[in-house]
Amino acid sequence: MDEVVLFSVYFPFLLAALLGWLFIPRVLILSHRKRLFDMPDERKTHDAPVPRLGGITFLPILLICVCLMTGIWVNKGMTFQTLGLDIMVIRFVLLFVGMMILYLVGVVDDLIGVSYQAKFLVQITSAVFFPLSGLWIHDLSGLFWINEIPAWVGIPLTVFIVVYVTNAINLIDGVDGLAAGICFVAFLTLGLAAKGHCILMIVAFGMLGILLPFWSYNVFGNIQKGHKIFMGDTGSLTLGYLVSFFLIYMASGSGVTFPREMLIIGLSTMAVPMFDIVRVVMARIRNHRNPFLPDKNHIHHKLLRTGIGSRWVMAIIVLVSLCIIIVTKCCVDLRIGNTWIVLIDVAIWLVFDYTVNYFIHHNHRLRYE
Amino acid sequence: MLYISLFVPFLLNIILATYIIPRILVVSVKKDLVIPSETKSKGRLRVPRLGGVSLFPILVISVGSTIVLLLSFFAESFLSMEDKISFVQYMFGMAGLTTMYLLGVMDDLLGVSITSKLIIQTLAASLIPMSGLWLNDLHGLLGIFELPAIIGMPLTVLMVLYITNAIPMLDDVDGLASGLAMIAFTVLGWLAYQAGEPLMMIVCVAMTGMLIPFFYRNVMVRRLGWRNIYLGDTGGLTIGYVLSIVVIILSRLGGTKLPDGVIMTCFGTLIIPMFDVLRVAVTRIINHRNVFLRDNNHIHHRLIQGGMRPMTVLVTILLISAFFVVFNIIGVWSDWNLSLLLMGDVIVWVVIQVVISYFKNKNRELINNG
Repeated sequence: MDEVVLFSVYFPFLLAALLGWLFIPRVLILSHRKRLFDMPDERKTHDAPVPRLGGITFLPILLICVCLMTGIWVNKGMTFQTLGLDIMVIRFVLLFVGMMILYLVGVVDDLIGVSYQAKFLVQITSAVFFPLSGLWIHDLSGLFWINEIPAWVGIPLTVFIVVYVTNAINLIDGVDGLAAGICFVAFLTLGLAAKGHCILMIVAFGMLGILLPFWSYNVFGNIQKGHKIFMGDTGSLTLGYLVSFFLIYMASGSGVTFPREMLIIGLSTMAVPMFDIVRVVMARIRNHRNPFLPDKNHIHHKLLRTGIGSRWVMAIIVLVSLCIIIVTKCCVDLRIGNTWIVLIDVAIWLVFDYTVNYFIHHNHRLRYE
Repeated sequence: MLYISLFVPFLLNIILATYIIPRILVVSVKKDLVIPSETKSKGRLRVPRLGGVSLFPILVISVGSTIVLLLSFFAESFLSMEDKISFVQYMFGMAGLTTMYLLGVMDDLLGVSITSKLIIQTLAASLIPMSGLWLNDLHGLLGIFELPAIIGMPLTVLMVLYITNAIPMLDDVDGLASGLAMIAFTVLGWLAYQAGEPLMMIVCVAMTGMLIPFFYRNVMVRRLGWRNIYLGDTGGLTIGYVLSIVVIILSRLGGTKLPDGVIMTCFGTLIIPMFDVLRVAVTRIINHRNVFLRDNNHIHHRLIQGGMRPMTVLVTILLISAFFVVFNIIGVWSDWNLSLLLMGDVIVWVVIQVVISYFKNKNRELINNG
């Protein structure tokens, strides 16, 4: 087997998966013994107390995995194949600094709660780190017929996308395995797209390795035996930050080190949660409610209202996400313009949404008759 | 550049630690994470032992942002492509530090059995020699000069385990662990500056900075009526691991960038915990007790039994530590024989122990007589 593939795909994946299998059961024991539960309230779809500290495993395991692998990588004399070590160090150190800040806020939020203003402030602070390390979207590559954009547009746009993606993942995390599943698909796509950029592949496949045991515990864990775990805000914040790092990194290198359509492929991995937020916020504004307060109008709540089980909800949404990614990739290969690709994605989403609406009405009719 | 690498991590860490400590207290009180320890009885308030969980995140944030500042605004980079070996060392050290952090958090909250603790610590410690960082030269200490890899690597692992396990023992007196670690990091930071190792200096300054709020809170807690906080095992393991990495890196520079035999100065900053753990372990083995179970035989316990108040104990031990530091610096810089220097350290240590024993016995007689 190719040594590069071995060290950038298989070893990070296996190491992270191993550490996850070792560490997540410990977190479960810890939260049960210290009673660090998520108390069931009316918005959540679960009834027994379930610990929501699964997310605290992500950052440390990723840190161990990435540090060890890059260390071994450099030790073996393999190059990073892209830029100098300095630039890479700046970018990745800032990534981990930002993740660490979000991690701290997430842990406090999971344990005692943080107001959403404070969370927003921290998210924006961490998002600013990307432009600081020289990563910002400088080319929309034909999206809405715009190409090069100046820094004063590109940098706020970058910060906006980071905060947007982070919150999108935070809000989609309402059904077992949903956020982890969508991120799994996203990291798989992004990791495969990063072919040749080995450190990105190490991070992506390391994260996949952690998500695998976490997803198993999240979906198949028995609540009564205390084997179920949620990722909590720690998990969704760190995951969202990492996904947006990949998006921004690849988009900022589009046309130079990555193909020009990288931005659109990256965004398509997050299409489902991002479209869903737009719909939810529009619905809230139409009904004159605060767009920041939670309600039960997200896509997973709607799917649950059609009367199917929560595992099917997860499977359907992940499949729709996968479908959008594949369609986008095919369209990119067919060289359809980026604007049309976005419109096709929106069309797929609308068809999905209206199908769900139809089944909700169907279900209601069934129940009342 | 020097000012940035001195002041940015220092001030940033004081601010971060001052901001985070009350939050840890709130979380641990609300979630009932205050763990009463068996050997500790200080007042009625139960003291949270989770202070150490903030050390690792603060270290990552501050050292990370300082590195980024230096790399982006100063072209003179300290991580060039030719400098691959130290890059590998830092990466492996980071991985080991994260492992230690996880182990410490688990130990503070759940308790980890001594076997699995030792296994994980050995794994984390063996990352250091694996990255090419092992004690390769004793510079004539006990007549030994060059060490082959087959001896040097296990010796390094042993040293890391030793230092890492010696620091949590000091956590029984308010401010002792943080005070001793601050002295050690200050001296090591100065040595790193002498050797021209900017990253090591940043790490040392950062650790000193983040320990100041802990030290202040621990020392002033009675006077200001604050809630106390202990560093716990997380703090001890984190401090110990960082200390051992810095000590080993600086020891290897002896003879090139630093005076020959600087290994004695580096380890001299840690003489009190190291000698004390050795003495305690030997006492336990002789008395056929479990080496890993805690008891009241450490130097600070003995000083308290000798009739001192905790604050006086703190000041005394810090003064002894400062004396050892100065003694070793003078010895190394004026080119004394390292074995003689070590003998001097041991003799001073034995004299101190004899004095302590004398006062302890006298105090016990006083109590017994009425």
